[in-house]
Amino acid sequence: MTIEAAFALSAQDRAFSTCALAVKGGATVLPGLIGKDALRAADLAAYRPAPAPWFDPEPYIGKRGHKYHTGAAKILGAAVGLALADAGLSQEEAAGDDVGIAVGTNFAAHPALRDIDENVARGGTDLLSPLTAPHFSVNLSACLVGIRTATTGFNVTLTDPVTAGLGAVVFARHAIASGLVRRVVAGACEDEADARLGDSQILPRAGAAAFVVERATGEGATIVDAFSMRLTAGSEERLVARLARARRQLSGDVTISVTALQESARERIAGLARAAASMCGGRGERVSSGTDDGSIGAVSALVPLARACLDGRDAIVAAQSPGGAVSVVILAARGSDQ
Amino acid sequence: MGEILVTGLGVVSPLGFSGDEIWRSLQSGVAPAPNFSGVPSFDVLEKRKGYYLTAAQRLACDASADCARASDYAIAAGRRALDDAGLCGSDTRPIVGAVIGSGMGDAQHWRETRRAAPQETDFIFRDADRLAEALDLDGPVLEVSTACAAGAYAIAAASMLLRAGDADAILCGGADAPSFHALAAFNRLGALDDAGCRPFDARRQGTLFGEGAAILVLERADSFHARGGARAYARLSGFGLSCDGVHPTAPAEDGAQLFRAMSAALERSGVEAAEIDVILPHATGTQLNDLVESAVIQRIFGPRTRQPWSLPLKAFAGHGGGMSGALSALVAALVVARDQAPPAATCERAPECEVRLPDRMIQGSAIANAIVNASAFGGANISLLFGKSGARP
Repeated sequence: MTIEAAFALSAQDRAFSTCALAVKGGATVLPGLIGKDALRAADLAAYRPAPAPWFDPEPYIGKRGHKYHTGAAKILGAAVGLALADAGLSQEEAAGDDVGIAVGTNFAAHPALRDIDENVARGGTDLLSPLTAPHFSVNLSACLVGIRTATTGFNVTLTDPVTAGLGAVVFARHAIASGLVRRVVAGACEDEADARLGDSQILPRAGAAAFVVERATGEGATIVDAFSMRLTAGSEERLVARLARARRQLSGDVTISVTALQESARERIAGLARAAASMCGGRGERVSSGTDDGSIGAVSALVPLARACLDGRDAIVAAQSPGGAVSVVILAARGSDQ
Repeated sequence: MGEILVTGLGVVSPLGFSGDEIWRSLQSGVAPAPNFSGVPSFDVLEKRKGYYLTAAQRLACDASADCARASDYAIAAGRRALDDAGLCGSDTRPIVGAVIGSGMGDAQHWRETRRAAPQETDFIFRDADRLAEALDLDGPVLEVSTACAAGAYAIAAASMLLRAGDADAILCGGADAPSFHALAAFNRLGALDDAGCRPFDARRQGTLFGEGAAILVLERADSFHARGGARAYARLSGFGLSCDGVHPTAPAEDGAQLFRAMSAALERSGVEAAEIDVILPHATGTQLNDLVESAVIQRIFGPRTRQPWSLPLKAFAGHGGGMSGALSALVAALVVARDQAPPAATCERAPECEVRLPDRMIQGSAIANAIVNASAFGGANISLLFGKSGARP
């Protein structure tokens, strides 16, 4: 496919290109890697999560008010607090009707479901605490953080397997483009896992990531596109076209990170991203994916995105679900011309 | 920006498997009696009745025996919706995505699997992913899990994706299935009423769960006309979102954020409150939800006698979790398309719930606009507003 054909294919997306997102701040809270300095210094290809217990909430969200919160909510609360601080914002500036929260998760409710099973088996529903029983609802982790920050624009949880963290960024982009809110705290969170995924050796990843995003003004780290599509034999060209269109907003060579359960899926998408890069006369270098440490979850794909922001590297960050859905976030680290 | 049309409907519900079947069930005005889920492990729970599909109904929609019911329902309803829109079997099918909301996903499947293999875990929310894979869709795929408002949030999200040009059509709505965990927690919270789900009723004591999937095909009007589409039920005129930000489970007693969501839906649609003919309220049958919601309805629309008709569907179908808001949206599209509104289930309206409940079929004049409410754990609120489409069914 020629670059002209690629751009023609993407013509239907032009209305969408008018809303890029400025990344005003970001943070990750990972086992053994808490905060931007730790992430910047880490060799992600060699990173292995620290064993539990690795997280003390008190320095980040204080002593009180979270005793009955989910583990994922505490970790997310820390990431949100650090991201707001990174954006130069107080917690009060996450409050109100013009700020929304969008959070991806795959495993945040698993511990609560396990506890309900164990308690009911031991003595019936009387053994359930009315304060923690509601944690069966997977959106509670994001909502508990939203209650702490008094964020009332909206509070939405995305749960697509593997891709949900990037899906939260996709949702944030549309919410801002639609004028629902002025600012979104978008991220992901997961609690500690106690079992491996199916019969694989992959563990759900604990941790959280959060980004403060607003409509872009042209300077600073900018998400020039964020979208989802299902990859089929017939839609590969459309993916390349959309990547190539966004690629024109990037200033230099681009890093590519793909998170997926299967290496074949990672290589396929990375190949399409490299093809898009080469159409524009650039190079696409594949860097560590969110699965290199043997774990996976909604946070996984946001880690290389956070790292690209810190490194000032343009990036194509993608993730694929088991069913073939792909979410993509494209970062222009030094801003765009939009 | 062009219109967003509702061009297909698909449903799996104890009330029926098509818009026509749902309509016939609602026409009677008689709420069905709750039944049992057919999941043996629920027997340890004191209250376990709900509005569940029978074994024959599950078989008819290929809901699997291993309790991955929610995603099976999503696939069955999605296939029906795609067919209803005339989008099946076309060589030139437009870009179609899937945005599905679910409160519990396939949590029951996860539970059964884990009981057999405690060392293994799995993803719970696979409804959108499985639906997109089963129907070989190539558009955007998102799963929204905003608890009991998830299906309605999925519809709002789909409309944003369509307006951005990310797809030509999107299968959107909600799916949920019986969940031991949700039922156990609601038993502990004392929020279940084994006598039935009785919204706005003086005797209401809680909710009862339902199950199924309700899926709409939302389609960009330009794509619909380009493919020669001939039938649209309604248009999604706009929506409003908000979050109470107050309490993990209870609605804010002042209803301020629900009021804001409804007001935003009206404003973004360019529709005045006086132009609303029908309300599909969230109406769970719990004391506080119904009290708060009826007060907000009164604040927006005025005294009961001047209000639009309210149709609390949970009296017929129970609380379908993430599916419930989508079922309300599906019925709202039918109401607007047919210029008729079915009666509310017979009830003893609570004096503190000042809502206007029809006791007969409403017909004889045009129904221009219907508004749908959904609220959820965590304080999430949403209102969807449906109006007349240019292309009538």
